[in-house]
Amino acid sequence: MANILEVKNLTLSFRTDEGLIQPVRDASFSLEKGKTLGIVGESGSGKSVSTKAVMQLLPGIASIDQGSEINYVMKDGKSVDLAKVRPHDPRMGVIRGGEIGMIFQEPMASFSPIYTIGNQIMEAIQLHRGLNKRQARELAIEMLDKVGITNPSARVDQFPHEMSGGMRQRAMIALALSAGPQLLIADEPTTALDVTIQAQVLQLMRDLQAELGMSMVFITHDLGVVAQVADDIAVMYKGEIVERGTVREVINNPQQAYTQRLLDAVPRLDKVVPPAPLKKVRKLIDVHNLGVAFEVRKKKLFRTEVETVRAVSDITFDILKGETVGLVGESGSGKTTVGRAMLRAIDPSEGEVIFHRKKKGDIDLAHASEAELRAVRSKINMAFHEGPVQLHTLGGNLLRSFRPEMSLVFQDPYSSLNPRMTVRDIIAEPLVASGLMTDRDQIDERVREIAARCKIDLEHLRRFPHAFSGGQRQRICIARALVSKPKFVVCDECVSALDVSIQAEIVALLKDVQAELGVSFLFIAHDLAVVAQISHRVAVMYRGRFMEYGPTDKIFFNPQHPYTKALLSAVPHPDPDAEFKPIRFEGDMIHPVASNGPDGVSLRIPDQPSDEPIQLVEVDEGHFVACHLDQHVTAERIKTLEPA
Amino acid sequence: MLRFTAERLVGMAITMLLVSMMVFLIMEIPPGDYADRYAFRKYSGTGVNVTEADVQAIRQELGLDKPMLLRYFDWIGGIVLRWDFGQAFAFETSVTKVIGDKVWLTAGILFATLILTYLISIPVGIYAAVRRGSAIDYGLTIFSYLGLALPNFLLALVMLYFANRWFGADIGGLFSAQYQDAPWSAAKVWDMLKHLWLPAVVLAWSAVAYQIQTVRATMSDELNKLSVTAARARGVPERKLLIKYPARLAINPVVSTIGFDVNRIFSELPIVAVVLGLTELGELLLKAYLDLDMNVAGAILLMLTFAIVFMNFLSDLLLAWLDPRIKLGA
Repeated sequence: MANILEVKNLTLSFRTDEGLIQPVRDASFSLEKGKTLGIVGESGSGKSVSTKAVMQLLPGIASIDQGSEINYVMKDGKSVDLAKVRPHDPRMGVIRGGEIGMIFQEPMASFSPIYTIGNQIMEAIQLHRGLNKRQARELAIEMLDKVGITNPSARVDQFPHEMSGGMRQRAMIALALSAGPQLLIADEPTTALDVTIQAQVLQLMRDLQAELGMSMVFITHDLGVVAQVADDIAVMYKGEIVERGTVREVINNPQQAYTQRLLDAVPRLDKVVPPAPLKKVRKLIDVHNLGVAFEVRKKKLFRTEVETVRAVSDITFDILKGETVGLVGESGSGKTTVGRAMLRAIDPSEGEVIFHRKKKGDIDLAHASEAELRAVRSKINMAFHEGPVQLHTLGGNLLRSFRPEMSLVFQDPYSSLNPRMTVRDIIAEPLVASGLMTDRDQIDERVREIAARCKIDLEHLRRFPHAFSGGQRQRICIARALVSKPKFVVCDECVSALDVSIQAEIVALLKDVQAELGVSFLFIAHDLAVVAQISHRVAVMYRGRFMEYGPTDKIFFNPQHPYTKALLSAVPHPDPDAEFKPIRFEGDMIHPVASNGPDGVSLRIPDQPSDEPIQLVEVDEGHFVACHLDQHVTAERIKTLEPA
Repeated sequence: MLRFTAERLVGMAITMLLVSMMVFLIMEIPPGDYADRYAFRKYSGTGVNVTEADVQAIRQELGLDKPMLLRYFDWIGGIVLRWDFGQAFAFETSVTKVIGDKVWLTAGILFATLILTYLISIPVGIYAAVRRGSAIDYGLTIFSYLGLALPNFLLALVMLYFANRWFGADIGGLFSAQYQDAPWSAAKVWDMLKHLWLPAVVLAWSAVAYQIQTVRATMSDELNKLSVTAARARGVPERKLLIKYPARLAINPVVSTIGFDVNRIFSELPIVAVVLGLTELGELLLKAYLDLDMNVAGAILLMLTFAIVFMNFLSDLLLAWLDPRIKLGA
């Protein structure tokens, strides 16, 4: 087959304040008609910007250098060198959308919030298909239906914010395809989505590609995704294409050292060796029946309706000293809420969080007074990730209230550090804010000790955070969380924003620190493979409840609950020969599943994981599964989780 | 949209009620009341001894001895039902007569200034954002700082000078001599428009400078949004794209400050009016304060605050139209 797209010696130059930089140098790749090319690479490798060059969507400071060729074969068979077409050339109006469609990483941001989904899809149709308004609307509805959006004739009039992320990405695909392009450029289209939604979107894209005979360029950092969708791969590193070939060649037999490193850094769920469960260690924290309810205020014409939303219910588990408990689940499942409620960053509405202390005895954090909390707060800490809010403020507030025994690490290493403070001051903040240490020299000594342990160059302590990369920033966040020598740290998605190679370093760092300091972690993440690497035990959450909880190897290699199975099946493995058959599990289409527990105990998994009481039943040693119990189950066979 | 409008209308009515109460309170603040000042003015220099009883009699006659709440209702009732703002004692006539045409002249200047501000600053700000970093952009930035730094009255003087040289002598004031006391007619309105542009330009100058920067900043942000790139990627022609996506959101902060603009222009008006020889309400308000003529001051304050509240209502509606998320409560 002939190539539909052939990029030769593409070099891009950006005029910046720091001078001329070349984010892409001498890159060549090609795509056969009807095939999928996966471009993989870490952030900043130039993979996204090189496809933007194809679409002439480069920022104003960019230019395509002499000698670059972007040969594209149009629908009518004519070849055009897009490197020589100017962005405002009328031909681009036809090529953009009509010939080449594009979808983006952020389904939230790729629709304009001020027009309906239908308006924007119809715009694409009317520009390229020459249909009138009524026909365009019909086609838009048809396309929404095709991408699996239920009730499309009503959805077409909805605004983007009325849809979920997964649905918006489907709508974006519908938009891109509605103009009838023969080539689709997908720039990290599933990165922002939950793993089960990602699986659905990937399947949808594969199906549509086959149905429409489309060619596709698929940009991603996720080798698992690329192994499942691409025919060919181009690996990019620092602006250059380091390796090209078929998926099988490149993944099974990489020729370049960088490709090998990248593949090694990817945590593989199919090959992971989780840490063995801890034995004979005392309990640090007991969580019993923890529940959190939020009040949501809805403004009506002259009154405000208050609705109570249960974010989290019936959470019961424990954390041992020096143990990492992984908390997995999709967005909105309540993982973050559990972490914060345990630290009393938010008030639980029910249940207990017993923090066992050797000398001072037990304390129930859920009911402790402010004064009592102050005494433990630097023993617990948090390291976490948040969206667009000014995180360093939140971090500061939490740190101010959360002192010597507990701690928190945030996900987003960029916004969780105050840009006006030096690294030394940032790390020292919990000590200063809690009044744990007042002596400058003492503080300095502690900061240097912890910085060294987190492998932060001591020379860097006087600098400001903007000078650091994501991985270095995350080290600073971790050092800050550990500086008060806490017993317990909540890591909320603390590696999610990092590239795989950096991610591997941070995971190794957390493990080292744990071995040295004996700190316990609650490790919240949506990336199952990372959780499997670090956690001694894992809890799977869905809609605010635990679905399954137990030793990591049992959860990942012998899952019992259908939700856990669905979640695991949705993870694409970086193995082109692995079968990718995600099981679908959506709240409104769960079918009751009956399975046989140990010794013939009949377990019924809830069809609606909401109101019916669920119990965690121990199906194996320390392995608990949420189910409804049928009448004949005898009491002694059921060991529900009771606090010891 | 209908429900949204109804909600905002109710909100506006409540705000106006509260505002009118506050204005009334302000009128009550100066020591002594209308009767005191009336008596003083009437008998001063006549040699007649005024006793407390005389003042009390005047007070009774005018109904000023009633409790404050009742007096508030008398006052606001008179305004709503009969367009009667009470007596302006310094002029010994009704407030309505004192204010007279000045309301419409002031409103005309305010309105012309607003329109001029938006007509210039929105397209220019958008253009500057699209051509960011170009010579034109830098030129506009320099102009903006000049505009912000230049005092209004100085600008008014300079403009007066040049207007005089280029357009003939008759440029101060709001009317040519032959229309000064003539009844309203189409010719008089046209004459007014010919005079209106000068104060409007002077008053709009700094607002334009400021709003250009606002529009430019928000437009630059909007241009970098992924949704704009996405629209470009589906082949939307550049001009249509700019208007449909980023520009619509970029004028948001301008629209939301219409009320403030009214207030600011009104505050700057008196100085400009003095220089340009205009007769308008700002100057009258100042005078009323100096004379403690609280009925006049109250009437002007009330009209000004109502104008601001009404403009806020308009800007709410405009915002909801520009960004449908607002009325959907998202």
